[in-house]
Amino acid sequence: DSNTDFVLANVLDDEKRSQIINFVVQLQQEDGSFAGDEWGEIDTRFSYCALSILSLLGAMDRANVDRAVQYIASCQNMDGGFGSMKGAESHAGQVFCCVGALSIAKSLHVIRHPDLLGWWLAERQVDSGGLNGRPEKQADVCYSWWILSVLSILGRVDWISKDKLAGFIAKAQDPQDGGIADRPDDMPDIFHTFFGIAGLSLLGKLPQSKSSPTSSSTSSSTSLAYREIDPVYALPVDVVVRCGLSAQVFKGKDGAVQERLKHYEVLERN
Amino acid sequence: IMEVFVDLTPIPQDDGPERVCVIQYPTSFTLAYNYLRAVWAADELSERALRLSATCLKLNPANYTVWHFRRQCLNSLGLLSDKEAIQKDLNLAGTLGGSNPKNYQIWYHRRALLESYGARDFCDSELEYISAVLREDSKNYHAWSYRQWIIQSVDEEDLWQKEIEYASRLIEDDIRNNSAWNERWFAVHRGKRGNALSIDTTRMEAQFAIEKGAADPYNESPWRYLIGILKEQHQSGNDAATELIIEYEAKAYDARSVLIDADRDPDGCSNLTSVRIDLLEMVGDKESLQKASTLATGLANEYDLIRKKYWRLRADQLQQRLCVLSA
Repeated sequence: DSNTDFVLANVLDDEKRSQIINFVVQLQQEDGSFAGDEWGEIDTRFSYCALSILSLLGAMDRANVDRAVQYIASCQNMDGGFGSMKGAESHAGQVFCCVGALSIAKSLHVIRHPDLLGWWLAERQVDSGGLNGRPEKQADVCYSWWILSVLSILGRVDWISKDKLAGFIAKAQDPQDGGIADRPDDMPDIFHTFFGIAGLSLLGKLPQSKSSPTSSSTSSSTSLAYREIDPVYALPVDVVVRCGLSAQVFKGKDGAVQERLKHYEVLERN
Repeated sequence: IMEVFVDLTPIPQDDGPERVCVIQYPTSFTLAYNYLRAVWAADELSERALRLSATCLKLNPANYTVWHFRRQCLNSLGLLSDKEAIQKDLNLAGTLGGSNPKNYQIWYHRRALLESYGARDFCDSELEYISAVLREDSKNYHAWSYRQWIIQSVDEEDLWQKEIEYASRLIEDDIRNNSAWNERWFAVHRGKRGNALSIDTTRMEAQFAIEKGAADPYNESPWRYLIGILKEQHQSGNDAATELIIEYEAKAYDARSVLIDADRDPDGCSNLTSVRIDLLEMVGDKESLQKASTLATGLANEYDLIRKKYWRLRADQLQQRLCVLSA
């Protein structure tokens, strides 16, 4: 695949690429799950990592994707969410790993109740506008990524209040040093700064094009154009397109698919 | 360290040709890890290597590679089948985890040890350890995952029963503890999916859930549990299930009195209203669907504006089902 070769040029030679693929593939277990290493910690985080790696390297056919999908499907809970393993509590971070993996595997159809999942995710929005990761826990900026990315894949981003979430993220920015914290008034860190910006990108709050010269601008600063982030691979959309990476997303209610997802396979909602 | 490893030459850390940022490790840290690298280079899996790994882990309990190396040493020394050695390592993990029970590696080490030796002999003491951690942080995701793994590995009926009681106690302590509710579901279903519970067990579980829900209708967890339990029965479609659902739809309506007594708007608690919508939808006759649709519209227009698009969609879907019934 020429696009993947573009990614690997000057970075990974054939031998190193093969080694990585072999390493990942031999971590797949009988039941389709993936271990993190040869000593075998199992977690749906590793399912996501494995499928993302294989997709990036153009080697999805080397793993048993059907079984990987079946394992992820078995991690669905009665509330519609997903956990780290079968039976584990639904957690927004694990939901991202599972739905992201299913998207890469083009197998979103195994989600038994996408509406229920979408609603469970929407219920994470609390009065402050922030999102928590599980019922009755505190809102945290990082869930702006873990949850919005899934809602984007599910075509249900409008099931939360985008403005209220954007407000929460904005309030979590430290006015002194500029970084973003997990919630307003806490100390910022790089982790939450990344997820805050990613969240704002998915919310469509970061302008894509520089404003025209005729628009009013009192400051001398140039207006910024931001790249868009892709909700499946957590890479800039232009990188995903350039590398020819594929995935699957649900159509939005109005039949529209977000502009940033147009290169992906689209699944109808039933 | 230098005396014990006098035969080895310490190997400094190789940060690559262009160091972006140099971490100022304390001297003790550098010394310990320099000798660890020497041990690795010599392919040594020995008693002294095991002791060195403990030193290195005390300096950085999150070092994944060192945990892995420690297990290799234990294996090589035949200690993975030695009950006393296993207990010592569990204790070590506990000591190191003390200040940070969210460290993935520490929890995985406990599990790896038990996977190797067998969980049965350590079941009671490990469950006790996990309970102690949960007393400090009742929602610690790692602790709960590990707990589920132990119970599922041992898989004995009285253990499942005790776990239902444990989950109940934690729910009594904090009805908002979603992890405890998840554990109750796990234990009641014996860790399996697929088979619905007996109608009697369903009734017991539904009753538990609605009592907790009524105690504070704004709390999400008991309502999710109730709907989950009843949906399982609903799927079977038998008469006993239908009767039960109708009964609980009425009970959910009655729970409004809790809000009235507290001088609150009985339709203002979106969690309770959403439960009523779900139950009315399950009942499925024209009157119930209409009621559900009206409730959903109320949420969209007034009571849960943050999720208004979802509730409008839900109201539309209910109207569609009504149209189909009326046709």
